[in-house]
Amino acid sequence: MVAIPRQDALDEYRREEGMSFADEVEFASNPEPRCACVLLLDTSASMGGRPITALNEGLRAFQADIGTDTLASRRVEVAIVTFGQGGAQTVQGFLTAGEFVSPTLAAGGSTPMGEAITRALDMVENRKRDYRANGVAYYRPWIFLITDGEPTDAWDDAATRIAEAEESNGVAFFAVGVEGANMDILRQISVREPMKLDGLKFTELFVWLSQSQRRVSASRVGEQAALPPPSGWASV
Amino acid sequence: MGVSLSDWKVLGASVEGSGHRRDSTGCQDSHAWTLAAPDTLVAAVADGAGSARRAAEGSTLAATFSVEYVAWRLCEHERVDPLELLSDAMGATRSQLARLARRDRHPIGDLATTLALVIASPDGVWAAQVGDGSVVVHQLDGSLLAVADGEREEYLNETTFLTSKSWRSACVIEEVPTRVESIALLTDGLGLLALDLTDGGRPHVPFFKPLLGFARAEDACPTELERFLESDRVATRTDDDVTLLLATLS
Repeated sequence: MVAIPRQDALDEYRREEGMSFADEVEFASNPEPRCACVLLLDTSASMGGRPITALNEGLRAFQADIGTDTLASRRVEVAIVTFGQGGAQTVQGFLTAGEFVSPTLAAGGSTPMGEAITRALDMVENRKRDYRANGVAYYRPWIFLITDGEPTDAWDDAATRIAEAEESNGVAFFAVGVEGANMDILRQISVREPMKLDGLKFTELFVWLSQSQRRVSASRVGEQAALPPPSGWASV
Repeated sequence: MGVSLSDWKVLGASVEGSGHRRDSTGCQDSHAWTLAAPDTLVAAVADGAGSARRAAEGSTLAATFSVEYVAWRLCEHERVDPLELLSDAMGATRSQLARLARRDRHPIGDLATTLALVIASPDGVWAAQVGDGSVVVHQLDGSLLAVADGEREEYLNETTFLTSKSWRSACVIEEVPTRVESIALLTDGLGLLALDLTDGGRPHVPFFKPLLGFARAEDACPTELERFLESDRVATRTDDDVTLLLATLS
């Protein structure tokens, strides 16, 4: 770690350059602002075998990449909801990216996507309430859905809630279809055009997601939350 | 030098954030200032949207044009209401951005920028703002006052730009008749460090006092301010571009 010599060098530099005022400037002790992100992952039976292995590798790549960014490690909060065996399950509640440890997911069961979306929307609403109650500034939350199939439960209400949340700028919802996904239904669920994963390039997808999240706090997203163009993982 | 041409001493710096360095977007913040009279300062800071393709051009044009416009009107017209003048200046700057976008055949959103514009004299400050920058007045009694604070958006990195359709309704114009000691203008990259956000965005006194003291010193130069804004202490707290303009009355 080079922090100690660097600090010394900086102090020396300040003395020489007469920057003594800089040491006197105290920063406001605001809590670190947060960006909540729910990963909504399909773990139904059809994801078994190579897809679920690739998804788990992707999650590890996400943890590794976002962990290299000190600001993002403190600001991005990740939660994971899966849908498959046993319905929608919160595998992990919100944790800062620095605390996040990628789980190893197993595949099985049907595709209760509607239930999972509803749960993710509730989690985001509750998290924002927590932020407000604690005076924490925050960025627009993200929900990032990945599926290789279509909902096996009712999804109309979930789609309506997404449309309402997007309309009121409550959340940015993104959907990615893996080979075999019903893109027509994804289009009815997601206000934004769903993206299509090229093969099993989960690692590329998650590194890109991490880098998109790292960018959020660096600059403004304009009036419409938008992702940088997908590169290296999406098929046209 | 024995003769001072101005009552104001002004230091300004806009510095690229570490996040922008990583993405090679360059600094999209700008600032500008001029004197309309020895005791009348006109100053502006502008923050270009990270997502806009020509944000740096937008913020540069907004800061420089708005300052020149106000100074020109103050010099040309013997009596103008400062609040009306600021309102005109925001509109004229918006039109200028629209003109540039039309000329180059691209959407005005490509030039998306915020703008905080100030006229300051020893007896008062007049400020206009679209966006989430801050104007802080250091009053003669020592207290700090935030002027023309817009309503904060729900999300930290989203705001209304001068290029937005709804800019007029988001524009806040305010007059503070007070004895002025100094003023500070900043873009939102410094907000987390300079404002107590858990306390309604009140200026954080231990942040501003040493800086304004420094700006008052005879040998203070903008390079020192730049070095401070580029220092690790600031960079570990924010990865956005930062702009700080400090003006003190002698």
